[in-house]
Amino acid sequence: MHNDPKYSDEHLNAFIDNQLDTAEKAELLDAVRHDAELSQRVCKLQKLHNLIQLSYQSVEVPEQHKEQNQLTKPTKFKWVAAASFLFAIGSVVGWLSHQTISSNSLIEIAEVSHNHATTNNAEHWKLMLHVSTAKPHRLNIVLDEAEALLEEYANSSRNLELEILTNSDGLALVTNSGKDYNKRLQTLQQKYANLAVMVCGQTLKRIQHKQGKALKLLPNTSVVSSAINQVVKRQQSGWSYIRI
Amino acid sequence: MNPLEFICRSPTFKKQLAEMRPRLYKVAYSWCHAADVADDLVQDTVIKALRNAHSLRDINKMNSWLFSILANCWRDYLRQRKQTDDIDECIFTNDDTPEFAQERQNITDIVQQAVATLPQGQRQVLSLVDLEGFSYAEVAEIVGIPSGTVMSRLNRARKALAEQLLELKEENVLTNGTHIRVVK
Repeated sequence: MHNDPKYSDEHLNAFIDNQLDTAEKAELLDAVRHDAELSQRVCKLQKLHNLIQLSYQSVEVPEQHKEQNQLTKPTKFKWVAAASFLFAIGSVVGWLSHQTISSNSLIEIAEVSHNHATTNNAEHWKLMLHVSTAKPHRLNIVLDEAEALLEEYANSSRNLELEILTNSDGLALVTNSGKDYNKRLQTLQQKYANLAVMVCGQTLKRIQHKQGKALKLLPNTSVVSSAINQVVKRQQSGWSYIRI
Repeated sequence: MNPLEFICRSPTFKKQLAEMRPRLYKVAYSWCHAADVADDLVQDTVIKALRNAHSLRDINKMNSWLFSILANCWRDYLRQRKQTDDIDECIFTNDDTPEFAQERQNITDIVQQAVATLPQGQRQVLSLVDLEGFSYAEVAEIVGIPSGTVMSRLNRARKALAEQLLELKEENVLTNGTHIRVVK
Protein backbone atom coordinates (compact mmCIF):
# COMPACT_ATOMS: atom_id res chain seq x y z
CA MET A 1 0.00 0.00 0.00
CA HIS A 2 1.16 3.50 -0.63
CA ASN A 3 -0.11 7.00 -0.51
CA ASP A 4 -1.34 8.75 -3.62
CA PRO A 5 -1.21 12.56 -3.40
CA LYS A 6 -4.93 12.67 -4.11
CA TYR A 7 -6.23 9.44 -2.62
CA SER A 8 -4.47 8.51 0.58
CA ASP A 9 -4.78 5.06 2.12
CA GLU A 10 -6.96 6.62 4.83
CA HIS A 11 -9.31 7.89 2.14
CA LEU A 12 -9.50 4.47 0.49
CA ASN A 13 -10.07 2.86 3.87
CA ALA A 14 -12.94 5.25 4.44
CA PHE A 15 -14.36 4.25 1.08
CA ILE A 16 -14.14 0.52 1.83
CA ASP A 17 -15.74 1.14 5.21
CA ASN A 18 -18.52 3.24 3.69
CA GLN A 19 -17.51 6.37 5.55
CA LEU A 20 -17.45 8.75 2.57
CA ASP A 21 -20.38 10.90 1.58
CA THR A 22 -22.15 10.35 -1.71
CA ALA A 23 -20.17 12.97 -3.63
CA GLU A 24 -16.83 11.64 -2.41
CA LYS A 25 -17.82 8.09 -3.27
CA ALA A 26 -18.93 9.11 -6.74
CA GLU A 27 -15.67 10.95 -7.32
CA LEU A 28 -13.60 7.98 -6.22
CA LEU A 29 -15.65 5.54 -8.26
CA ASP A 30 -15.07 7.70 -11.29
CA ALA A 31 -11.33 7.76 -10.59
CA VAL A 32 -11.31 3.96 -10.14
CA ARG A 33 -12.91 3.57 -13.54
CA HIS A 34 -10.02 5.34 -15.22
CA ASP A 35 -7.12 4.28 -13.07
CA ALA A 36 -6.18 0.59 -12.95
CA GLU A 37 -3.60 1.19 -10.23
CA LEU A 38 -6.12 2.92 -8.00
CA SER A 39 -8.56 0.10 -8.68
CA GLN A 40 -5.91 -2.39 -7.55
CA ARG A 41 -5.32 -0.43 -4.35
CA VAL A 42 -9.03 -0.47 -3.56
CA CYS A 43 -9.17 -4.18 -4.36
CA LYS A 44 -6.20 -4.89 -2.13
CA LEU A 45 -7.85 -3.18 0.82
CA GLN A 46 -11.11 -4.96 0.10
CA LYS A 47 -9.33 -8.30 -0.06
CA LEU A 48 -7.67 -7.66 3.28
CA HIS A 49 -11.05 -6.82 4.74
CA ASN A 50 -12.50 -10.02 3.23
CA LEU A 51 -9.68 -12.13 4.55
CA ILE A 52 -10.14 -10.85 8.08
CA GLN A 53 -13.87 -11.50 7.90
CA LEU A 54 -13.37 -15.01 6.56
CA SER A 55 -10.74 -15.82 9.13
CA TYR A 56 -13.15 -15.13 11.98
CA GLN A 57 -16.20 -16.62 10.26
CA SER A 58 -15.92 -19.90 12.12
CA VAL A 59 -15.44 -18.35 15.56
CA GLU A 60 -18.46 -19.33 17.62
CA VAL A 61 -19.37 -19.25 21.28
CA PRO A 62 -18.17 -22.41 23.04
CA GLU A 63 -21.68 -23.76 23.70
CA GLN A 64 -22.43 -23.77 19.99
CA HIS A 65 -19.15 -25.50 19.30
CA LYS A 66 -20.18 -28.29 21.64
CA GLU A 67 -23.64 -28.68 20.15
CA GLN A 68 -22.58 -28.54 16.53
CA ASN A 69 -19.10 -29.95 16.74
CA GLN A 70 -19.51 -32.37 13.88
CA LEU A 71 -21.10 -29.81 11.66
CA THR A 72 -18.78 -26.90 12.30
CA LYS A 73 -15.49 -28.72 11.79
CA PRO A 74 -15.84 -29.37 8.08
CA THR A 75 -17.36 -25.93 7.64
CA LYS A 76 -14.34 -24.36 9.29
CA PHE A 77 -12.03 -26.38 7.09
CA LYS A 78 -13.81 -25.24 4.00
CA TRP A 79 -13.73 -21.58 5.00
CA VAL A 80 -10.03 -22.01 5.55
CA ALA A 81 -9.74 -23.35 2.04
CA ALA A 82 -11.77 -20.45 0.75
CA ALA A 83 -9.61 -17.96 2.57
CA SER A 84 -6.59 -19.62 1.03
CA PHE A 85 -8.14 -19.42 -2.36
CA LEU A 86 -9.12 -15.78 -2.03
CA PHE A 87 -5.55 -15.05 -1.20
CA ALA A 88 -4.09 -17.25 -3.85
CA ILE A 89 -5.93 -15.70 -6.74
CA GLY A 90 -4.11 -12.89 -8.42
CA SER A 91 -7.09 -11.49 -10.20
CA VAL A 92 -9.12 -8.60 -8.85
CA VAL A 93 -12.52 -10.06 -9.52
CA GLY A 94 -12.93 -11.97 -6.29
CA TRP A 95 -14.97 -9.90 -3.91
CA LEU A 96 -16.54 -10.37 -0.57
CA SER A 97 -18.06 -7.74 1.58
CA HIS A 98 -20.63 -6.96 4.19
CA GLN A 99 -22.89 -4.09 5.01
CA THR A 100 -20.16 -1.51 5.54
CA ILE A 101 -19.99 -0.61 1.87
CA SER A 102 -23.06 -0.09 -0.22
CA SER A 103 -23.78 -3.05 -2.45
CA ASN A 104 -24.33 -0.71 -5.34
CA SER A 105 -20.83 0.71 -5.13
CA LEU A 106 -19.41 -2.73 -4.61
CA ILE A 107 -21.08 -4.13 -7.67
CA GLU A 108 -19.88 -1.20 -9.71
CA ILE A 109 -16.30 -1.66 -8.56
CA ALA A 110 -16.47 -5.39 -9.15
CA GLU A 111 -17.70 -4.76 -12.67
CA VAL A 112 -15.01 -2.16 -13.33
CA SER A 113 -12.35 -4.45 -11.90
CA HIS A 114 -13.62 -7.28 -14.03
CA ASN A 115 -13.28 -5.08 -17.08
CA HIS A 116 -9.76 -4.03 -16.08
CA ALA A 117 -8.78 -7.65 -15.50
CA THR A 118 -10.41 -9.34 -18.46
CA THR A 119 -10.13 -7.14 -21.46
CA ASN A 120 -10.86 -10.04 -23.83
CA ASN A 121 -14.14 -11.01 -22.30
CA ALA A 122 -15.47 -7.78 -20.84
CA GLU A 123 -18.82 -8.20 -22.59
CA HIS A 124 -19.62 -11.34 -20.65
CA TRP A 125 -19.84 -10.89 -16.90
CA LYS A 126 -20.41 -13.71 -14.47
CA LEU A 127 -21.41 -12.59 -11.01
CA MET A 128 -22.27 -14.42 -7.83
CA LEU A 129 -24.25 -12.68 -5.07
CA HIS A 130 -23.92 -14.48 -1.77
CA VAL A 131 -26.32 -13.93 1.12
CA SER A 132 -26.14 -15.56 4.53
CA THR A 133 -28.54 -13.47 6.57
CA ALA A 134 -32.32 -13.58 6.98
CA LYS A 135 -32.66 -9.85 7.57
CA PRO A 136 -35.41 -8.75 5.16
CA HIS A 137 -33.71 -5.50 4.18
CA ARG A 138 -30.55 -7.39 3.22
CA LEU A 139 -32.54 -9.95 1.24
CA ASN A 140 -34.26 -7.10 -0.53
CA ILE A 141 -30.89 -5.52 -1.32
CA VAL A 142 -29.89 -8.76 -3.03
CA LEU A 143 -33.10 -8.75 -5.03
CA ASP A 144 -32.86 -5.03 -5.84
CA GLU A 145 -29.32 -5.44 -7.12
CA ALA A 146 -30.12 -8.61 -9.03
CA GLU A 147 -33.17 -7.07 -10.64
CA ALA A 148 -31.34 -3.89 -11.65
CA LEU A 149 -28.45 -5.82 -13.15
CA LEU A 150 -30.63 -8.32 -14.99
CA GLU A 151 -32.71 -5.53 -16.44
CA GLU A 152 -29.68 -3.47 -17.41
CA TYR A 153 -27.98 -6.37 -19.16
CA ALA A 154 -31.19 -7.48 -20.83
CA ASN A 155 -31.33 -4.08 -22.50
CA SER A 156 -27.73 -4.12 -23.65
CA SER A 157 -25.57 -6.21 -25.94
CA ARG A 158 -23.54 -7.49 -23.00
CA ASN A 159 -24.17 -10.84 -21.38
CA LEU A 160 -24.63 -11.52 -17.70
CA GLU A 161 -24.73 -14.79 -15.82
CA LEU A 162 -26.02 -14.15 -12.33
CA GLU A 163 -26.09 -16.63 -9.52
CA ILE A 164 -27.60 -16.03 -6.09
CA LEU A 165 -26.06 -18.30 -3.48
CA THR A 166 -27.67 -18.72 -0.08
CA ASN A 167 -26.35 -20.37 3.03
CA SER A 168 -26.87 -20.17 6.79
CA ASP A 169 -29.80 -17.85 7.63
CA GLY A 170 -29.83 -16.70 4.01
CA LEU A 171 -31.90 -19.78 3.20
CA ALA A 172 -34.90 -17.65 4.19
CA LEU A 173 -34.69 -16.20 0.69
CA VAL A 174 -35.34 -19.52 -1.03
CA THR A 175 -37.62 -21.16 1.53
CA ASN A 176 -41.15 -21.41 0.22
CA SER A 177 -42.74 -19.43 3.04
CA GLY A 178 -44.82 -16.96 1.05
CA LYS A 179 -42.87 -13.87 2.09
CA ASP A 180 -42.67 -10.94 -0.30
CA TYR A 181 -39.00 -11.56 -1.03
CA ASN A 182 -39.77 -15.22 -1.86
CA LYS A 183 -42.36 -14.08 -4.38
CA ARG A 184 -40.01 -11.47 -5.84
CA LEU A 185 -37.31 -14.06 -6.35
CA GLN A 186 -39.74 -16.42 -8.06
CA THR A 187 -40.85 -13.65 -10.40
CA LEU A 188 -37.24 -12.85 -11.28
CA GLN A 189 -36.50 -16.51 -11.96
CA GLN A 190 -39.46 -16.77 -14.28
CA LYS A 191 -38.48 -13.60 -16.12
CA TYR A 192 -34.73 -14.13 -16.53
CA ALA A 193 -33.17 -17.37 -17.74
CA ASN A 194 -29.69 -16.11 -16.84
CA LEU A 195 -30.51 -16.07 -13.13
CA ALA A 196 -29.67 -19.18 -11.13
CA VAL A 197 -30.46 -19.70 -7.47
CA MET A 198 -28.35 -22.01 -5.32
CA VAL A 199 -28.64 -23.25 -1.79
CA CYS A 200 -25.88 -24.68 0.40
CA GLY A 201 -26.36 -28.42 0.90
CA GLN A 202 -24.57 -28.35 4.25
CA THR A 203 -26.90 -25.70 5.66
CA LEU A 204 -29.91 -27.50 4.24
CA LYS A 205 -28.82 -30.76 5.85
CA ARG A 206 -28.25 -29.05 9.18
CA ILE A 207 -31.63 -27.31 9.21
CA GLN A 208 -33.48 -30.44 8.14
CA HIS A 209 -31.69 -32.45 10.79
CA LYS A 210 -32.65 -29.86 13.43
CA GLN A 211 -36.28 -29.61 12.31
CA GLY A 212 -36.67 -33.32 11.59
CA LYS A 213 -38.38 -32.69 8.27
CA ALA A 214 -37.61 -31.64 4.71
CA LEU A 215 -37.44 -27.93 3.99
CA LYS A 216 -39.67 -26.65 1.19
CA LEU A 217 -37.61 -24.67 -1.27
CA LEU A 218 -38.77 -22.45 -4.12
CA PRO A 219 -39.02 -24.20 -7.50
CA ASN A 220 -35.87 -24.06 -9.67
CA THR A 221 -33.58 -23.82 -6.69
CA SER A 222 -30.47 -25.94 -7.06
CA VAL A 223 -28.70 -27.54 -4.13
CA VAL A 224 -24.91 -27.39 -4.21
CA SER A 225 -22.69 -29.56 -2.01
CA SER A 226 -21.66 -26.57 0.06
CA ALA A 227 -21.60 -22.80 -0.29
CA ILE A 228 -17.90 -22.54 0.04
CA ASN A 229 -17.23 -25.17 -2.60
CA GLN A 230 -19.46 -23.21 -4.93
CA VAL A 231 -17.69 -19.93 -4.15
CA VAL A 232 -14.29 -21.47 -4.84
CA LYS A 233 -15.51 -23.21 -7.97
CA ARG A 234 -16.97 -20.02 -9.37
CA GLN A 235 -13.97 -17.91 -8.56
CA GLN A 236 -11.72 -20.42 -10.26
CA SER A 237 -13.87 -19.97 -13.33
CA GLY A 238 -13.44 -16.20 -13.25
CA TRP A 239 -16.70 -15.20 -11.61
CA SER A 240 -16.95 -12.02 -9.59
CA TYR A 241 -18.13 -12.62 -6.07
CA ILE A 242 -20.00 -10.25 -3.79
CA ARG A 243 -21.34 -11.10 -0.39
CA ILE A 244 -24.23 -8.91 0.63
CA MET B 1 -37.12 5.69 31.67
CA ASN B 2 -39.94 4.71 33.96
CA PRO B 3 -40.09 1.18 35.42
CA LEU B 4 -43.20 0.26 33.41
CA GLU B 5 -41.49 1.11 30.16
CA PHE B 6 -38.50 -0.98 31.14
CA ILE B 7 -40.62 -3.99 32.08
CA CYS B 8 -42.47 -3.72 28.78
CA ARG B 9 -39.34 -3.75 26.73
CA SER B 10 -37.51 -6.30 28.88
CA PRO B 11 -38.28 -9.34 26.67
CA THR B 12 -37.03 -7.43 23.64
CA PHE B 13 -33.94 -6.42 25.53
CA LYS B 14 -33.18 -9.96 26.65
CA LYS B 15 -33.88 -11.38 23.20
CA GLN B 16 -31.53 -8.90 21.57
CA LEU B 17 -28.93 -9.52 24.23
CA ALA B 18 -29.06 -13.28 23.56
CA GLU B 19 -28.86 -12.67 19.81
CA MET B 20 -25.83 -10.45 20.26
CA ARG B 21 -23.85 -12.99 22.23
CA PRO B 22 -22.18 -14.71 19.22
CA ARG B 23 -21.20 -11.34 17.76
CA LEU B 24 -19.77 -10.16 21.05
CA TYR B 25 -17.86 -13.41 21.35
CA LYS B 26 -16.40 -13.14 17.87
CA VAL B 27 -15.09 -9.63 18.50
CA ALA B 28 -13.87 -10.54 21.99
CA TYR B 29 -12.04 -13.50 20.50
CA SER B 30 -10.43 -11.29 17.86
CA TRP B 31 -9.11 -9.08 20.66
CA CYS B 32 -7.70 -11.79 22.92
CA HIS B 33 -7.43 -14.91 20.70
CA ALA B 34 -8.19 -17.14 23.69
CA ALA B 35 -11.52 -18.95 23.91
CA ASP B 36 -11.71 -18.93 27.69
CA VAL B 37 -10.87 -15.23 27.99
CA ALA B 38 -13.36 -14.34 25.25
CA ASP B 39 -16.03 -16.36 27.00
CA ASP B 40 -15.33 -14.60 30.31
CA LEU B 41 -15.39 -11.20 28.64
CA VAL B 42 -18.76 -11.89 27.02
CA GLN B 43 -20.13 -13.30 30.24
CA ASP B 44 -19.05 -10.16 32.13
CA THR B 45 -20.53 -8.01 29.40
CA VAL B 46 -23.88 -9.79 29.57
CA ILE B 47 -24.00 -9.53 33.36
CA LYS B 48 -23.15 -5.83 33.28
CA ALA B 49 -25.68 -5.23 30.53
CA LEU B 50 -28.42 -6.88 32.56
CA ARG B 51 -27.45 -4.94 35.68
CA ASN B 52 -27.30 -1.63 33.86
CA ALA B 53 -30.17 -2.10 31.44
CA HIS B 54 -31.82 1.01 32.87
CA SER B 55 -28.96 3.14 31.52
CA LEU B 56 -29.74 2.20 27.92
CA ARG B 57 -31.99 5.04 26.82
CA ASP B 58 -32.45 4.03 23.20
CA ILE B 59 -32.92 0.34 22.37
CA ASN B 60 -31.80 1.08 18.81
CA LYS B 61 -28.34 1.86 20.16
CA MET B 62 -28.08 -1.42 21.98
CA ASN B 63 -25.36 -2.81 19.71
CA SER B 64 -22.86 -0.02 20.25
CA TRP B 65 -23.84 0.14 23.94
CA LEU B 66 -23.02 -3.56 24.35
CA PHE B 67 -19.71 -3.22 22.55
CA SER B 68 -18.86 -0.26 24.80
CA ILE B 69 -19.40 -2.52 27.79
CA LEU B 70 -17.29 -5.22 26.15
CA ALA B 71 -14.53 -2.66 25.50
CA ASN B 72 -14.64 -1.64 29.18
CA CYS B 73 -14.45 -5.29 30.26
CA TRP B 74 -11.48 -5.79 27.95
CA ARG B 75 -9.80 -2.68 29.32
CA ASP B 76 -10.32 -3.95 32.88
CA TYR B 77 -8.91 -7.33 31.91
CA LEU B 78 -5.81 -5.75 30.37
CA ARG B 79 -5.30 -3.52 33.37
CA GLN B 80 -5.36 -6.50 35.68
CA ARG B 81 -3.06 -8.43 33.39
CA LYS B 82 -0.54 -5.75 32.62
CA GLN B 83 -0.12 -2.97 35.13
CA THR B 84 2.71 -1.05 33.54
CA ASP B 85 2.36 -1.18 29.74
CA ASP B 86 0.37 1.23 27.64
CA ILE B 87 -2.44 -1.12 26.73
CA ASP B 88 -3.10 0.53 23.39
CA GLU B 89 0.44 -0.13 22.25
CA CYS B 90 0.78 -3.55 23.82
CA ILE B 91 1.75 -6.23 21.29
CA PHE B 92 0.52 -9.71 22.03
CA THR B 93 2.59 -12.68 21.03
CA ASN B 94 1.73 -16.34 21.02
CA ASP B 95 4.07 -19.09 22.15
CA ASP B 96 5.17 -20.93 19.06
CA THR B 97 4.83 -24.59 20.02
CA PRO B 98 5.28 -27.37 17.45
CA GLU B 99 1.52 -27.95 17.54
CA PHE B 100 0.87 -24.33 16.85
CA ALA B 101 3.43 -24.26 14.06
CA GLN B 102 1.53 -27.10 12.42
CA GLU B 103 -1.75 -25.27 12.90
CA ARG B 104 -0.33 -22.23 11.18
CA GLN B 105 -0.30 -24.13 7.93
CA ASN B 106 -3.76 -22.92 7.25
CA ILE B 107 -4.51 -19.39 6.27
CA THR B 108 -7.09 -18.72 8.93
CA ASP B 109 -4.62 -19.33 11.69
CA ILE B 110 -2.00 -17.23 9.98
CA VAL B 111 -4.39 -14.34 9.53
CA GLN B 112 -5.59 -14.60 13.13
CA GLN B 113 -1.97 -14.74 14.24
CA ALA B 114 -1.22 -11.61 12.23
CA VAL B 115 -4.19 -9.83 13.79
CA ALA B 116 -3.15 -11.07 17.24
CA THR B 117 0.27 -9.47 16.93
CA LEU B 118 -1.11 -6.03 16.13
CA PRO B 119 -0.94 -3.51 18.95
CA GLN B 120 -4.06 -3.86 21.06
CA GLY B 121 -5.49 -0.47 20.12
CA GLN B 122 -5.18 -1.19 16.40
CA ARG B 123 -6.62 -4.67 16.76
CA GLN B 124 -9.60 -3.38 18.70
CA VAL B 125 -10.46 -0.79 16.07
CA LEU B 126 -9.89 -3.20 13.19
CA SER B 127 -12.25 -5.81 14.68
CA LEU B 128 -15.03 -3.34 15.32
CA VAL B 129 -14.84 -2.01 11.76
CA ASP B 130 -14.17 -5.23 9.85
CA LEU B 131 -16.15 -7.76 11.86
CA GLU B 132 -18.99 -5.60 13.12
CA GLY B 133 -19.18 -2.89 10.48
CA PHE B 134 -19.36 -0.01 12.95
CA SER B 135 -18.81 3.49 11.59
CA TYR B 136 -15.69 5.36 12.63
CA ALA B 137 -17.80 7.61 14.85
CA GLU B 138 -19.38 4.61 16.58
CA VAL B 139 -15.97 3.00 17.12
CA ALA B 140 -14.70 6.28 18.56
CA GLU B 141 -17.59 6.26 21.02
CA ILE B 142 -17.22 2.57 21.92
CA VAL B 143 -13.48 2.72 22.51
CA GLY B 144 -13.42 6.27 23.86
CA ILE B 145 -10.94 7.80 21.41
CA PRO B 146 -11.21 10.56 18.76
CA SER B 147 -12.40 9.62 15.25
CA GLY B 148 -9.04 10.70 13.83
CA THR B 149 -7.32 8.18 16.05
CA VAL B 150 -9.72 5.49 14.83
CA MET B 151 -8.70 6.26 11.26
CA SER B 152 -4.99 6.31 11.94
CA ARG B 153 -5.09 3.09 13.97
CA LEU B 154 -7.12 1.38 11.29
CA ASN B 155 -4.71 2.53 8.60
CA ARG B 156 -1.67 1.36 10.52
CA ALA B 157 -3.34 -1.98 11.25
CA ARG B 158 -4.20 -2.60 7.61
CA LYS B 159 -0.75 -1.56 6.43
CA ALA B 160 0.89 -3.95 8.87
CA LEU B 161 -1.44 -6.77 7.89
CA ALA B 162 -0.96 -6.12 4.19
CA GLU B 163 2.80 -6.35 4.63
CA GLN B 164 2.60 -9.58 6.60
CA LEU B 165 -0.05 -11.21 4.50
CA LEU B 166 1.47 -10.26 1.18
CA GLU B 167 4.62 -12.04 2.32
CA LEU B 168 2.38 -14.96 3.19
CA LYS B 169 0.98 -14.93 -0.30
CA GLU B 170 4.45 -15.07 -1.78
CA GLU B 171 5.87 -17.70 0.52
CA ASN B 172 3.09 -19.96 1.65
CA VAL B 173 0.15 -19.90 -0.65
CA LEU B 174 1.39 -19.47 -4.15
CA THR B 175 4.14 -22.01 -3.63
CA ASN B 176 1.83 -24.49 -1.95
CA GLY B 177 -1.16 -25.53 -3.98
CA THR B 178 -2.56 -27.80 -1.30
CA HIS B 179 -5.09 -25.26 -0.11
CA ILE B 180 -6.59 -24.95 -3.55
CA ARG B 181 -6.43 -28.57 -4.57
CA VAL B 182 -8.23 -29.74 -1.46
CA VAL B 183 -11.43 -27.97 -2.35
CA LYS B 184 -11.65 -28.93 -6.01
